[in-house]
Amino acid sequence: MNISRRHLLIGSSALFLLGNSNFSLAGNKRKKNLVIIMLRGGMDGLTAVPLKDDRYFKNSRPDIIVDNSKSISSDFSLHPKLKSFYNLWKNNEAAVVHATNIPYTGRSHFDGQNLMQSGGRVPYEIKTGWLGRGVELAGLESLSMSLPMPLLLRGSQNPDNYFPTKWSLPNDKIVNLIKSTYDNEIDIANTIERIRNRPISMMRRASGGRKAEKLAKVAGEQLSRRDGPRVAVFDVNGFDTHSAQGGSNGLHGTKLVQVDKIISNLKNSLGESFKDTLILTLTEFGRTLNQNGGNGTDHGYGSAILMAGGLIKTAQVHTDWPGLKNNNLFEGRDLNSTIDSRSIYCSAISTCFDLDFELVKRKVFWNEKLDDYSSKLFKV
Amino acid sequence: MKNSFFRKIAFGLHPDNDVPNDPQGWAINQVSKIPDYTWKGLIPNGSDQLKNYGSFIFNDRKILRKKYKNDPKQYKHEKKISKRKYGVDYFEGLEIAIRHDAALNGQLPVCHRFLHFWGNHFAISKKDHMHTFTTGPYHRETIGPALTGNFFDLLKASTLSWSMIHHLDNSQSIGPHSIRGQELLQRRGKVSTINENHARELLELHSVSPSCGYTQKDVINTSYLMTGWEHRYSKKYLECGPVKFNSKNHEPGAINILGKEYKQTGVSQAKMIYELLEDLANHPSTREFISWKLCRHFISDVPPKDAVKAVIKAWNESKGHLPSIHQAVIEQTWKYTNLEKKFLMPETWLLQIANLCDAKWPLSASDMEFDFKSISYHAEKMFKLTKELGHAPFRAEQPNGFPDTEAEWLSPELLIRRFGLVNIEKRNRLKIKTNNIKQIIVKNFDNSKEIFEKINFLPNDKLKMSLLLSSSWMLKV
Repeated sequence: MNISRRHLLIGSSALFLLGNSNFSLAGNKRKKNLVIIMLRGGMDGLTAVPLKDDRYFKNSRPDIIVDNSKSISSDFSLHPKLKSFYNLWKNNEAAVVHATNIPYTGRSHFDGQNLMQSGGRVPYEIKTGWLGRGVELAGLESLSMSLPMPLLLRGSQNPDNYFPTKWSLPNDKIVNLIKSTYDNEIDIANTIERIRNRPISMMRRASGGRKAEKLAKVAGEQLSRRDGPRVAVFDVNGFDTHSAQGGSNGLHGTKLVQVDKIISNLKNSLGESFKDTLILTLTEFGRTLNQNGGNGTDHGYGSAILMAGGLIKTAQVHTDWPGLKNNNLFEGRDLNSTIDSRSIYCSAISTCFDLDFELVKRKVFWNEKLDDYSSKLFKV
Repeated sequence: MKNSFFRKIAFGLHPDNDVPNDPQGWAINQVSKIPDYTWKGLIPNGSDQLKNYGSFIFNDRKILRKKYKNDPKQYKHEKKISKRKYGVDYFEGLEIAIRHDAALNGQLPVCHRFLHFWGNHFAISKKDHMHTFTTGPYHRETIGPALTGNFFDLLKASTLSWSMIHHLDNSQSIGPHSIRGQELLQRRGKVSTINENHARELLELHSVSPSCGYTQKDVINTSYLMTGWEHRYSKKYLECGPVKFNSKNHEPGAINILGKEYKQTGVSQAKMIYELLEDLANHPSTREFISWKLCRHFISDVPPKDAVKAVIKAWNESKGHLPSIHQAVIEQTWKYTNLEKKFLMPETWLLQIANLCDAKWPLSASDMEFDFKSISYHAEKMFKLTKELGHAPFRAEQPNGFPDTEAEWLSPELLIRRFGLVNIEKRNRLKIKTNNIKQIIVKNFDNSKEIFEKINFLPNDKLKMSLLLSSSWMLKV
């Protein structure tokens, strides 16, 4: 087995996959995939999905208004850099949940990124991730595409991982010899055997580069295999645009291009399986309504979830809009969150893993008060 | 024969080192000393680095962001120049070189193993730019010198350090009844709150651990007691001002923690925390938790109960004197050498390879010189190689530090990297020397016959070395 063409992957973005080797898909049961794109730094929902005609909005950020945005409803438009997303939208394969976030208002990246993954309310209290717990509940075997397992995926048994490196293994004969020194170390020996038995497709990939959007091609191919992974997680940094956030062409727009590419590459490489896939974004918080002195925005609260895939029910901006008047804002400065985003993630797990919503709510989210959006947002 | 002991308690033996006649004495003699540094190049000073850190973020936030608010491209460019100027992509690699040089080239390798343990116990996880500027000096200047004192001294040094205060957000806590809390209430109608992070980790990770049965109320009360301990917000260095007790933010009144009432008595508000830390340091749960953790680190994932008991006993008898505790750990590690095995963390394994095979690691002080204008590829190498192994030492993912059990370090990708790094027939990244493999084995392993049987038929020394360094005998000791 030649795996010398594996390439290094480090940097600002990464990809994680979860597999399902012991999950029975016998009969006609559809294999449904769930993809989470983590947007670290605090994605500004008001830049990705701006309001069309709202004087409070326009007055609050005169220098970073998004020009040339695409109208997607009577109230909202879409950032022009989200081109593929817009095409999916026209096809009823994309949707948005707006004015939503995890129930965290502390505005710290450190705590927020912990909570968006653990799904809890107290930073660092929970040592597993909501997706990991969901995977465990569904009896899936996990494969994470990372060196350290992201908190989001922790909590599942026997995690496998995939994270390309340019350090090449010795030839299989030597690897087998190495293994023979672990005869009394069954766990290590099994792990070596797992490496030796990897599908060749997982060995020769990642030549496309280190970025998440490139890895999306690998992820899509793996997800489209019937015996392949069921869950993929992307990790994208850089949404913390305190400065030069810009409108159509600023730093936030550049990050949205990356998200858009991940989604379009996933669509292309998933092929037919795109119709059985759900892609959701996840962030720690939104950003302030007002622009700051650096033409950026600061840490806020409510944000938006971008959703794509064939399992989307219809193109819509689902929201319980709180308004942007001063007394509608959270602490007089942030877009409020009127939907606990964990309700959306709980619904997504329930839909993709064919699990009862109440069961997921109980086992994954400690029976917190979450609402079932499955039939509103997804094809169930 | 117990030559494996030198790998269990330190980094093995270098080809130029003789096997010490009295291994236990060799190790015990070291732990009464403060970890030494042998690095011939720049060793950054902690307070300078804090200013450097402050200057970098000041320049970014207060100058560049405003100046280039309408020009994202130029902003990116200027930030890159600023990063070079302040060594943002340099110091982490330098700090790893200093740390590894001390472990391998100093006189106190055992001390450094303990320093690595305690640095991970009082972990500063990757946050902001701490891994660049401050975590290296924190290990060297805050943790290291405290290792010859009592556990209380160490707990105090770490808890009140800028690194830990900033890492766990204690500066964000304002007592609702404090002078400032009342001011804020009157002026803005806002009730002040506390940030529980530091208090929770102090109890959960650094001292008594959840097994002592503390409640959420204890956590909250610990936060109240800790209010006022914060880093000064400096005009010039922003949040990188030094740590100081700010009585204006301190929550007044008596506070009950773990069943004991901590009273405020006028000027000694600042000192309440010393009383709490002393109680936590001397709490039976702390003794048991950390003795177990030490044995788990050096002996095996499930350490023998009598070994843990012996360490607890030394802790009791010495009233938490760290050299005495470390001596007990050394004695128990000796006792269980070749009986209990421990899967080495990637960094420890890397250092052992460097030591056993006289590899070119870390890079030299002259390699690591930097002009603060260009890119330091050497610093990048120091950092990237450890990161690739999953163990860049100043970048723990969480405040609980790097994991310390085989199960947590065992994944296909992490193993591939171990085997890949020492696949020297393909590429010898560490410049591992293979000429005296026989001597290396005899000196550092107690099963040389078994090893020779396995490797001798291989056609060349490079392959033999690859197999040895990837084998169970090397990864588990």
